Amino acid sequence: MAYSQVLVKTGVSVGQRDNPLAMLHDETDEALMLRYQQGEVRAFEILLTRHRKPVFNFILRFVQNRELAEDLLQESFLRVIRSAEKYQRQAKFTTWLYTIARNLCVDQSRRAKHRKTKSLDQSLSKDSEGGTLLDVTAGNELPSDRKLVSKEIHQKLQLALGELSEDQREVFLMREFLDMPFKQISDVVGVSENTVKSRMRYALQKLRMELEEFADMAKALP
Amino acid sequence: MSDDTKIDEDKEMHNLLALLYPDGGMSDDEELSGQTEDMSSLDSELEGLLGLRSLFSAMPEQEPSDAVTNSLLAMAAKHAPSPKKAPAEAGIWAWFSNLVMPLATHPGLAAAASLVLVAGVAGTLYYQNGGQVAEPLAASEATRPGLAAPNVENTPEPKSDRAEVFLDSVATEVSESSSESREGAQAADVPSDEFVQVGGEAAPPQEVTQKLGRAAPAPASQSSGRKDSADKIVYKPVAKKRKSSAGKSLMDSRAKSAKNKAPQKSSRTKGRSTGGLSPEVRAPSPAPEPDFVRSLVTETDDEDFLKEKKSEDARVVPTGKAAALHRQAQRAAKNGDCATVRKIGQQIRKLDSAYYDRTYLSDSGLKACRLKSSAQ
Repeated sequence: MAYSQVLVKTGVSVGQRDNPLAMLHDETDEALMLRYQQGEVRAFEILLTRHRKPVFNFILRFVQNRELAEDLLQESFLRVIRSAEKYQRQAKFTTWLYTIARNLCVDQSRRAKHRKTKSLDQSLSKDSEGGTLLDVTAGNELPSDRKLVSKEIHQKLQLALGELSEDQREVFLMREFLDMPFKQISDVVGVSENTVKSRMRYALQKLRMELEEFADMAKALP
Repeated sequence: MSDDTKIDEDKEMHNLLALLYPDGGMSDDEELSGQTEDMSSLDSELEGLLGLRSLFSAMPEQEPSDAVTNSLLAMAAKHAPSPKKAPAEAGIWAWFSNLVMPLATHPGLAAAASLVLVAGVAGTLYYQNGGQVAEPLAASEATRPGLAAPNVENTPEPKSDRAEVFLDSVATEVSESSSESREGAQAADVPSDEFVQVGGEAAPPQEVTQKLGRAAPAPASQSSGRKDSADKIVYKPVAKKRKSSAGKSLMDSRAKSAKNKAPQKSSRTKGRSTGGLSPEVRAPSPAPEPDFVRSLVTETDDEDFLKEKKSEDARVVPTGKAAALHRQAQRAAKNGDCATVRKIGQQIRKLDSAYYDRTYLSDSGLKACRLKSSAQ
């Protein structure tokens, strides 16, 4: 059997055959992690490219501080690097990665409770024209289809997330922004699936109450 | 809150979440449990939650800074796990190799092996020689046993021109004196072969000096720089009957030489030592004593010791003197004086038979004279 026929039979296209990097991009997270276990740094680079943005946004919405979020993102992937040799394929990579990130966020949140922190809506300067901390954490770019959502709504959403308890917030963020199934969320958080659903429902109810004033605007959104 | 109410709320929650996240968020058996009954009651709440989701979905996402990404990539490259090695082959040989290889490749082992090898060879040679350390094959002139002084006091001085002149003269006159010496030796019951040089510079017997017509040797006190060695060499009779007189003469000679401070004017003997004894000291008895054995001064009269000393001295081969005679023979052969060559050859054979056989006979310059002598 010709080599090209083998590739076709195994689902590898001609373009992928010629480009090893393209083949790596098609690999699952677990396969890439196993490749990195064998010393293939390129596999980790693809993993980082694939997951750095969602993990960073999860951490950023959890801790609501960009610098802190970057530090925690770095620490999360560093732990992945250090623990690469112990990784086993039975565990789903994203479950493992978000467990690390979530634990770091929880630890950071507990440490922050013991010291005074600035409020997100506290003015950065003495005069009220300097903007707030929330302005700093907000994104600089907005997609064209989302320009209708104003800066004020973003601030309100962030504040509403901040009002949630940590248990509700982490479940909401994983379900809403990471599209994780409840079963996987329960694995990451370490509680039962029903508990996750319960927390999710209470989180939604609370957010709905907080954002009641934007209900009409929300109906207008696509 | 009753149990029925709680169950209803759970069902409502499941239904609501199933409607809100239809993309696999709920398992099939959970989805829309009792869906047909109260769906209308969830509509309003579901509509509000969908609006809420649309608000959050409109939230922009942010990118982490490139510095973080770059540092993570650098760390990943630095701490990348090394490729797993193939499992080592099992077996006794593999186990033995793993055990021995770190030792075998250590440089200290090579050094230790070299040391053991050298020590083993040296020990083997030592025991093969019967526990004796081998002497160097090429001994220097000074360390050769024939020239080595048996006593520290009699350590010979380096051979000087005077010694060579003297030896040359001895070689030329030895034929004349040999017959007389033998006669004198027979008269004194001492073989002429007992004239043995022991240590120190070769000094002629008195008779030889007299026959050469040279002046008597200057007293030791007058020989500058040679007093010590000259004082310690005397001629001592071998015969018992003369030993006491010889010992007495020794004592007298030392006493007299210490008293005699008058310088000798003879130009030929100036600075030359012939034993450090004046003619009258060397010949204390009225009758001439040609058969003296030159020996070291010993302060004892023990005959056994003297005999032993003599036998030891007799074994000492004066190779230096034989070589000098050899040179003299070579000069005589050049001049065509084969008779002298023959006499000198006999003398060398008496002095050092080994040298005679090894060196003298193999001298091609003397071959013609030897053939002529044998033809005669």
